[in-house]
Amino acid sequence: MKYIYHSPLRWSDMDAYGHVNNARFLTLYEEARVALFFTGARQMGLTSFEDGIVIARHEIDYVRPVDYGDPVRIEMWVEEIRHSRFTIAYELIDREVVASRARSVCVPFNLEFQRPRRISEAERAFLAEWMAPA
Amino acid sequence: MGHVNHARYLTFFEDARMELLARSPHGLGDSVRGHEGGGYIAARVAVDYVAPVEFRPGLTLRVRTGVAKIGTSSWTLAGEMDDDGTVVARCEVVMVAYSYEQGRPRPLDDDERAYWETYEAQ
Repeated sequence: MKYIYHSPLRWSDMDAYGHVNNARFLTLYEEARVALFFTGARQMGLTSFEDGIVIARHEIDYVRPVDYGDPVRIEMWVEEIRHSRFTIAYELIDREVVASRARSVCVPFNLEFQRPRRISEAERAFLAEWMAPA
Repeated sequence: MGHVNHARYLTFFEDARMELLARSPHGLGDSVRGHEGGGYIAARVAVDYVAPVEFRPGLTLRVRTGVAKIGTSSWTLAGEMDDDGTVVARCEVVMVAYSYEQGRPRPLDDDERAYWETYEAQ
């Protein structure tokens, strides 16, 4: 199942080239991720992601520029689940055209011990819900 | 968590990149203040987060940028960010020389190629 998030653009998301700045794409993707893993998970009674999750890596491909205008649609799904990390994949769609694709490697993190921790069974079940069909 | 937000790292790497671009033969490229002759797009960015950075007064992060690869119309910049010698992140950016006029990639010209070659990893 894919998670769909509509993100408005802000005027200040644009840079001197008149396009949404490439670094801001990451913030738009982050909005979608936070909506699912914090707000969405909480609604399902899962709050452990809020206790600490770090990003180990981001990859972003820019397919076409995005101009200021209507909200963009972000489609997001879980690509891979491992013992102590999972990968999220996204597409950013502007006016029905894919403008960017991205991937984030997320690591649940124990802030108290300052080290990565294993993904719990409840988390795994939640993540599995959002695995895209192959 | 009190850490520097991961999306901001991209902006730090970008600041370093824009400084390099500004000094390159075609400057920041067209579509900025009507400059003509060349343009660029960032086609792909990958960032690895090595260590968290906590804000503190006077915190200054250093970014070192080199060229990892040069192709016909694209080149790859590799950046490393450190906090007082401790590496906190690495970034790889694929840049494409682009003609906004023609709406497609353009080959790097000789001056540009020579400029970027001076930043190739030793």
